[in-house]
Amino acid sequence: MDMEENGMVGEIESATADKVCDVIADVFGVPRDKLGAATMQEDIPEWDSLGHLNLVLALEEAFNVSFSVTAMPDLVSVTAIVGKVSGKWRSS
Amino acid sequence: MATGTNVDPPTQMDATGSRADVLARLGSRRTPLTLSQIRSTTRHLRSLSEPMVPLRAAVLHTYTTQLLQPYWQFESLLQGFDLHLYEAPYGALRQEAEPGSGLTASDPDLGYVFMRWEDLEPRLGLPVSGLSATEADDVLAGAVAAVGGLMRRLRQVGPATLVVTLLPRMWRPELGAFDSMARHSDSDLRRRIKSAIARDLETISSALFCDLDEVAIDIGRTNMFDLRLWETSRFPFSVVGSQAVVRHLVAYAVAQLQPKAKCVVVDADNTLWGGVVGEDGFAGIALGPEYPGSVYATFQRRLLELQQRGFLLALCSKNNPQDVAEVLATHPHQLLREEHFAAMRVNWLPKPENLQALARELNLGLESFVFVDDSAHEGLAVRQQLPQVTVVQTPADPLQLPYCLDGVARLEITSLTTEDRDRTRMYSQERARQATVKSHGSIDEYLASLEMAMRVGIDSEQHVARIAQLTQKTNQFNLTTRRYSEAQILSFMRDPDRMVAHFSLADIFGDSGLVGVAIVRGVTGEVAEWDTLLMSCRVIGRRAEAAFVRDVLQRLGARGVKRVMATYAPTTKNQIVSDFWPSVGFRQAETSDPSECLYACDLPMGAPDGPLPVRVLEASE
Repeated sequence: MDMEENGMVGEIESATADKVCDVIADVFGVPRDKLGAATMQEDIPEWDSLGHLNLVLALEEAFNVSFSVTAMPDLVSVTAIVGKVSGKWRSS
Repeated sequence: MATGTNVDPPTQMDATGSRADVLARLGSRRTPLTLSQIRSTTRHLRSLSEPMVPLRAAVLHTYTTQLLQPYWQFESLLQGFDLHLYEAPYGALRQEAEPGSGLTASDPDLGYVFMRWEDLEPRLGLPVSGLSATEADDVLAGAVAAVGGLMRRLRQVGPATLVVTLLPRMWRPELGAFDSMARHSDSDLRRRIKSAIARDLETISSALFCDLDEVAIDIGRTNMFDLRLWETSRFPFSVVGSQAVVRHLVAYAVAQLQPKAKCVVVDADNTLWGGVVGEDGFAGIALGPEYPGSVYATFQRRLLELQQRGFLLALCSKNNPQDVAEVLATHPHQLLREEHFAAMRVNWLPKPENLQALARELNLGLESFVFVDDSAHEGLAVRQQLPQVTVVQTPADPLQLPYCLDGVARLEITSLTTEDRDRTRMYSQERARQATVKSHGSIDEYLASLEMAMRVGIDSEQHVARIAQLTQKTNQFNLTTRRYSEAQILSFMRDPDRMVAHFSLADIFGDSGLVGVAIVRGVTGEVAEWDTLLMSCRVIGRRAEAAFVRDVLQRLGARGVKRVMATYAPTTKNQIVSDFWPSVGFRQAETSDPSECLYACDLPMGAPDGPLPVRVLEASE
């Protein structure tokens, strides 16, 4: 990948991370400014196992995607979610 | 579509305005909402500081139900409830039906039970279409006993209303397409079980079966479930399924805890027919076998179905009376004729004014009205001036019209008596009576000409539903306005120290059905206390109440009661009976409480002042 494509990927990932944080703030009712690309499940008390399922459903709606049963448990941080949602920009 | 559904959500939604505004937009919706719309609407409804009816609900479950929380919150707020929800521990059913359990501590108005078929009878977790007839009957008996046993235990500890559900089968029938032809199929067995459960629950007061299979039919089996959640967390429903299920269940709370809807008031133009009769003319309105007239014909049929639930229909239209009268009387495809409407206002007055006039004519409170109109402008005017009226705006797409009342929570009923079914006929009988009054010289002559006969029944358990309904709905001819549930009425009937009397009234025009209730305490002693005396407003003015009181007092005297105490508890609606007890021979009694209106009557009573126009007969059943 050349530098330009790398930059584009970075921008898209950053925009995706923003949107993911919006959804997390909405689902758990936590302040948006406390969330960022580094946020993970342990950081948010409301993000328990049931909360996780609520988040998964909200992410599916927001990004118009569908997660498989095996993917669902992996969505435990903003980075992991971004990775799964912008899947077409990654090779794996 | 993300969650595998094939139903499109609305693309935009306006989460603003009062709760009534939001309900008018969403209350009769056919398309499901997205989670995001549900959340933003919940936030908006929470931010309003409108008064809400408290709703204490309890959930017992044998599968995961906690993911329903956002839908419980949303639907409760939408319907005007401040919800307090208790969820029992997973799988705890019988333990919760004990005194001192979390369920009893939560003191719920409604208890909801979520069970699976295999919880009722283990054989239901395996193929059943191969069972012999005896084995199938055995499974049925076990299933009915399981539900009935649990409901009876729960009835002991509490919730005023119990609603039990069974998780629908997630797959097609065992025998596939041949299921409908097979003599012993699994769906046939399940149908028989559901029917038997319903008959059994009828013998337990305020216990209802809510058939989630009907939800599956409504939204589609594939749309109802999210198999990923089911397989990983034992939570079965998709976003679409969850909101549909909760919507059905909260409707029971609306039916039980909010003012009962009694009358559906419909507009005429673009509601009963397409077009405007005053402009398009009799021949120009769309009503008949061709589209869009066919849609309106179907909607009229759906309205006629509402009458079967016990609701009255009324017409409120801005038109020249003769234009509407012509359609009602002579249009070949008009299903709703004048006799189907309990009252009508066809004129050029503002609709809020007409609704008030209809309420007065029908002797109903406006809080019992559901108003259906195609005009957003009319709906808004009614919502603003008469906030207690539920407004339903018909959908812009005529194809959706026949469905637009299906989702209105206030149109759900939780009991149905013969009086409910006959209600409209009672109103046209009453119109016939009113017409006769004018032709008689005196009121005594008129009453005598009715040849009224009253049947009095005592502690009649088969009438528990109607009697409880009357205590809950009667506001005007009600001396003490005490509201009782079916469970309470049943316990009074079985209490040797109390007497529950009822009467039904018939005359030459027809039978009014069960219209009066008396509950007396202390009937085993010498001084009894008259707890409840009420009468349906449809028989006010015929002196039936005097005959009933006399009959009850005679029965009390026969049991050895020497004195009966009675009170009048004034409310804003029952001034009509402020002087009732003296009028039937009671004297004012001494009381240390200046706000109490206390009366007494010594038995045996003297002879009545004049002839009573009502013959009293013993109830035959």
